[in-house]
Amino acid sequence: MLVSIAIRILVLVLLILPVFLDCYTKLLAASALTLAIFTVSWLYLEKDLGWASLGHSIPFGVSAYLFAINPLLLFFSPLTTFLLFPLSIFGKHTFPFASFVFSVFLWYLAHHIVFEGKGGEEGFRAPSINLDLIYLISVTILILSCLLIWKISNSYFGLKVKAVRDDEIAAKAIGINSLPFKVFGFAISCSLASIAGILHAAIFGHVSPGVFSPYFSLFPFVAATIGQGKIWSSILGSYTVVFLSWFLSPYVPEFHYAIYAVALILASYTQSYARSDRSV
Amino acid sequence: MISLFFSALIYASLALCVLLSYRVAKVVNLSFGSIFTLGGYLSVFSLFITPIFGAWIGLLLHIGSKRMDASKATIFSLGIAIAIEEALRILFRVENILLDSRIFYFFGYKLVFEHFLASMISATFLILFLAFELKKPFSRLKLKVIEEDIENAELYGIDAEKARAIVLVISSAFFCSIGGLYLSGRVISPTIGWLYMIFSLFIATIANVFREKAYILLLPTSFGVCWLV
Repeated sequence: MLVSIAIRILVLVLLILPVFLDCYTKLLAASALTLAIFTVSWLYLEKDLGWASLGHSIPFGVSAYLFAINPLLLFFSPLTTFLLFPLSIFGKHTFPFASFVFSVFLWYLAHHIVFEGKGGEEGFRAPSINLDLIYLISVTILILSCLLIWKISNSYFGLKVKAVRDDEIAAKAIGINSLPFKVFGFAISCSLASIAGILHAAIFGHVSPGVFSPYFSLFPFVAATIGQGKIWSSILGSYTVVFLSWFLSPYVPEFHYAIYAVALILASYTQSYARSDRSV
Repeated sequence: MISLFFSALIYASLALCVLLSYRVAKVVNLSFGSIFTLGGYLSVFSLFITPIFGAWIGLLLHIGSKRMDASKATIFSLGIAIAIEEALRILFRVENILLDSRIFYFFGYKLVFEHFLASMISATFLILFLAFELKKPFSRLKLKVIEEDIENAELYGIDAEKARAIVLVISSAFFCSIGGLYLSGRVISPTIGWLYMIFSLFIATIANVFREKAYILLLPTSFGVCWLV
């Protein structure tokens, strides 16, 4: 209990402190913040729906690209649900790998996206927004995301979603049509990941094919593994990965991948995936 | 046309490794891409050490994931893949390396010797496996039982663990050797192997649709996909 309270206080301090710090630290904190929203979106899909995606960079990256190509296209970003959701036909056991493979495919494909002579390997320039403003927006969205997920998760509707997660056949037997609940869950998760992608593009003012790379695909999984699947701890996990990576990368190239490797290997020993694969 | 044929041969053999890992070892081995890249980096020193390193990683993968279910074993293989990539970054520091190659002429076609060698090794590997598949010796039948149901296989006294180890070791060694040869003459980076792995996985997935005939149809599938791409 004490640890849980301490983690919440630490997260709140991490959210407030950068406001008073220099521009560089604020940029770093804003990056960690968007990735924390990204992790929260992933966690909802994994915890409440039971689908562990290793390709969550699909809604994240596609939305960032749409925003960079034309900011008005950001209204289409919830439609990225229909890029990730069809992969659920592979079943809960294969879905993580199908989504990962698809994200790697998009990573290569993104190198060839050219629009009005721009894009390709260099990517697109995105509309840049004042850092202070975007930081405040990001903090607000993170808090709202947590509240939204908490609210949905504890509602009558959320219980039905969890029933579908635990056993689709049993849920069907008590009159719950699983498809709308699954689509809804995917839509919530993908929309939050899309918002994170748009914020990421707005913070850096640039989007490159790297938004589909394994760094982003695996990030929420790794942050959630560090946070042991709890929302506040996973937000802290996101900050840990970003800060460790930025500070240690000059000494160990791309240090975050070392964290990823350790987290993935440990997770394969300790965690369980695909709680129930009984589907209709 | 000749280069298309050689590429199809190489991808068919890589897809065969992917398919064998999936069917016998029950793991979608996502570390193949990094093992392929490792082969490229090791070829800077010597081509002969590539299968040895590949085999060691295959063995590590087997030992590390033998008590896991398919999902966990695949996550483990992804962890190994990223660990290899990071090790390459730390050891080589420079992100991109240009590998040497030798050019020679084959019936008037200009070819990279290492690529030609890779396709010949792939062709031999495919022919040997097809002979194994078509002749159906006792060991092939054992493999088939493991493919269908690993628990049944163990019930019949088949050493499924040994078969899994052999498949993972051979397929990893093969990926590493082909990586060493096929990446010659290219600028390589630690992430280059993902593309080859995804492409092989794609071919293996299409071939897997044909169930019983999957192994036999790997080469035509690979040829079709390479031609389309």
